[in-house]
Amino acid sequence: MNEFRYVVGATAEVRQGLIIWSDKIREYTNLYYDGNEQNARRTEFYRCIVKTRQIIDSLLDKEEGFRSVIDDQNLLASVCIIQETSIFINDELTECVEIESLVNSPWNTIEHPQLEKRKGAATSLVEAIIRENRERGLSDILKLMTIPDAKIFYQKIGFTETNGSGEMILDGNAASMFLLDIEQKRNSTAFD
Amino acid sequence: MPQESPQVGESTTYQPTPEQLARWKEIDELESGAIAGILPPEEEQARIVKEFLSTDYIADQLEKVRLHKEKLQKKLKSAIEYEQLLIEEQKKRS
Repeated sequence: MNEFRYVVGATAEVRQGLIIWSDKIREYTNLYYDGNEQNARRTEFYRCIVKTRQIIDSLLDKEEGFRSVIDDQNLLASVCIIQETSIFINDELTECVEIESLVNSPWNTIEHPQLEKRKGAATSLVEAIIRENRERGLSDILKLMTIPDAKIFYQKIGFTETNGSGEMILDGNAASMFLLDIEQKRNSTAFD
Repeated sequence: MPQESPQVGESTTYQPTPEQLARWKEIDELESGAIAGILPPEEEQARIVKEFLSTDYIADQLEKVRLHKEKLQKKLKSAIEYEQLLIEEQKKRS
């Protein structure tokens, strides 16, 4: 199982990582899509470009909300922005932490094999956010909005849909189950 | 579900169930597309991607950082002025 290092905030390492992402996005577009971004439409890589741009646009005013994971090559593998918010659960306004945006690196997204590719970055990032929230005494509940293609990933790690709008939550019990599952995966030899 | 704690001398390696193995494999395969957050309509996506690829990233960021710095400097100047005003007011009253 691949291990990642958790980073809090838009540190120099994260900013440098996003510069590398930007270079790689251009390189892959030229190499695999004849330099024409339209050829990449509707791919995970294309959505990665859109989301990367949105995240970069928040570098200056949401820097404290940045959370990332760095892989064993010291490369930025996945990045997201979180914020404390609230959500109605059973007609009751409940505090939660929202993953406002999350995206994996271009090499983890593009379908062509890349040496830099490391599986497990997004899972590791969600795991680290839950652990951080618990350590800081914040809500156990995670909330996010997702797109139809990504829904099944979040379902598999324990998120449930709330109202069909794409909004999903991971409640305290599901978060505990998810942490236990990850720990078991880490302690098994199946993914070494 | 968790297994029982191992006895002394037993291996601590966890033995996953076949269902767990299948689920872990599936999660690994789905990982790459794990985007969170709203995506704009397709036309807007096309504009964002085109603009991103046609812009010099470093120059663009440098311009944004400088504008941001200018705004912060104005705010800092304003905060210093207000602090000075309050200090003077405090002196008058003491």
